[in-house]
Amino acid sequence: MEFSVPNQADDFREQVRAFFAEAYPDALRGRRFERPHDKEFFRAVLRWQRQHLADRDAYETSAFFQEAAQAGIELTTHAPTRMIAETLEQIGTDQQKAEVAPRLREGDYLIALGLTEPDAGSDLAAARTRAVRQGDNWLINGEKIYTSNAQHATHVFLLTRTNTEAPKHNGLTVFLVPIDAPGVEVRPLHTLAYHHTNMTLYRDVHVPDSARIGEVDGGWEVMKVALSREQAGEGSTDLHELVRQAILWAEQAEAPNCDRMIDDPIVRERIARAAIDLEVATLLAQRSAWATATGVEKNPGWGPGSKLFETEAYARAAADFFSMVGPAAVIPFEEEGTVSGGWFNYCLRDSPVRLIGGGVSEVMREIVAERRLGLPRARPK
Amino acid sequence: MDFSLTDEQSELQAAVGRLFDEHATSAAVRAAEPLGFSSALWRRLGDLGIPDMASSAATDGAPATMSQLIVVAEEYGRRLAPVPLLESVTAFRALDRAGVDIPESGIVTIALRPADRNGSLSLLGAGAVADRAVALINDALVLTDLAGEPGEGFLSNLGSSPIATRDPGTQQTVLSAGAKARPVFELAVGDWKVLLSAALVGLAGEAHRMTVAYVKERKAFGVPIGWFQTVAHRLADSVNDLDGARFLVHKAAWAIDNDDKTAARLTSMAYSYSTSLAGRITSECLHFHGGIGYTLEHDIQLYFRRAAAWPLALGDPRSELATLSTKMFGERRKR
Repeated sequence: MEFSVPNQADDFREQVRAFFAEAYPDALRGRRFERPHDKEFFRAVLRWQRQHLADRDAYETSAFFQEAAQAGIELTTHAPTRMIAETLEQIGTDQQKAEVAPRLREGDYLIALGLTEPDAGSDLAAARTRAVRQGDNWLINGEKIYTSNAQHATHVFLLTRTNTEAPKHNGLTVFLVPIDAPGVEVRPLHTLAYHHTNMTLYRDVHVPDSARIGEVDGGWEVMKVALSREQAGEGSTDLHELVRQAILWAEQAEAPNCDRMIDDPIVRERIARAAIDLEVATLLAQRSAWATATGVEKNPGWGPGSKLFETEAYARAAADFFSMVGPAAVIPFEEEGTVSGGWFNYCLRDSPVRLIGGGVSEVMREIVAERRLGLPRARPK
Repeated sequence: MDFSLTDEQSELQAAVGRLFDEHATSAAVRAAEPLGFSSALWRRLGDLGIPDMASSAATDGAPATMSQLIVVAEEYGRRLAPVPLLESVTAFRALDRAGVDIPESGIVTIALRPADRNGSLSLLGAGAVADRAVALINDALVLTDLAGEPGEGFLSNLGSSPIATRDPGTQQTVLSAGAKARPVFELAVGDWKVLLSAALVGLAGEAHRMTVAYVKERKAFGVPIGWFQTVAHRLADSVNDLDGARFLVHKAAWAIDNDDKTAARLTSMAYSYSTSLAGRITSECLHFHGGIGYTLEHDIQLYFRRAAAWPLALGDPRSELATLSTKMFGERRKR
């Protein structure tokens, strides 16, 4: 194994910092926790990633996201759009490859994922949102929950049921539904972590057959391609920033029995323990990025394992640091007297979201147990 | 960045793995108890060039790197090989650093803790089989012979390791003296920490492998016990943690080989993480075996005992967090 930091890694970080300093709109600064959105910045990030991050190695991929976090920038809107662009490039029709994928790459389109349904939770294949063929069109009715970023999106990557007779995985079809199509409604769903996600409702929505991705009833195959892109490993960013904030805090905060909090043996050991978790989380994420970059076949347990470790470690550190910094940790970021710009308060609120969103921990463990360890499948098919 | 083993590492792993598969079987490990030493296996390892590979003098100036030695250490841990491998390799690297040739014969160990008030090397790892030791005595790092005969002072112990309290003899070669002795000694201890971490990754990895196989076979309430989520999910967490530990060990070894400034910090991280992980995983693995797991008939207890015993050679591994925080944040400033 080999862990060299690439040549000119510092130059690269400098380049990333300069990009964020220039491209990030001033009006959005200081509002990271609310996940603010700016169309031009969204396009600029996709363009920059395409030009400067495409052939970079795992170290640089994580450096990009770390620098974003350090600059107080949240990049949650980008991953789904890039993921669907890659999916279309891999399995789209000629028309989708030529006309749709480039618009995703350019950031003309922004994708929200319409997967989970109110009655289905983690069981994505149980989707009941119906799509029925009507000549050259499809008629869609149903509802999705946790359609994050739908308020900014141009399209929803929508998982629907087209066959009620077939086993559940064989009756699904995916569409790219314009958010402004008549009958689509976006309803905000406010979360513990300041930002909001959405419910999206679909009432007699008509889309042409050209909006279909993959085969009719072949939606689960499309999902596999898309989700394999999702887990390509950008992880450990939040934990990285949380540990960095804890060190900054401890180096400045006054302590009752020693010079600064960082001189307190218990405080420094708590941060050191989280720093080990951070190193492990970073290595697990870098393995996925390395495999993606080099074309090494990934074990199906790597991506889920990485997501599981990072978010669990983040939740542990968030809870631990929240109490470590003392009573003012309860003050949110927009109030006077908040600690460290509200980071510890935010992370405590955000960590339950991370443990669930993008694949709940228990399902990640299921995948590792079943597909990596070969243990018998516990959940019903 | 590369997360695969190099060809060199793979070949070494295969060669050592083959030898241990054949000669460090569970029967051989048990037969070597309680002393925890098989002279036959030690000779076979010697024939393969281990531990001499760690020495410049014995390899015409091309000693094995830490990245290679951890591969050997991981296999050693996987098979619980009853040989003083980690101690010898650590001692040879310490001799190398001082430009001192390795002795022509006999076993050399390392005293991880300085001589005590009476001048004794207490609970010396491999002390019951060693002829010489690298030790910190009166603020000098020396290669010393040991008073008495190997086998004297052996104390039977949880890990079935050849531990003995020995007194340094009179023939001593100074490796480093004065202000430099302590930092040079710490480098040797750092080598040992990384090697032990690698061994624990091998040990815990093998316990985990045995357990995954067992929970697929063993049935209760009409289903394999691996079907139950509390079993499956904990084993899933563990395999993830094992990956993390293995990468930490490899990264620390890489940093040592390349004189990278992160070497000391990564060494501490690898050691802290793998010492706590090995105990947790082997306990869990024993537990998933049910009643048979706590009988002496089953091999899982061999792993459980060593996972608990090995990390104590240097003292409480929990204190490594204090060491790590000093490396990360500097010495504590008191008011």
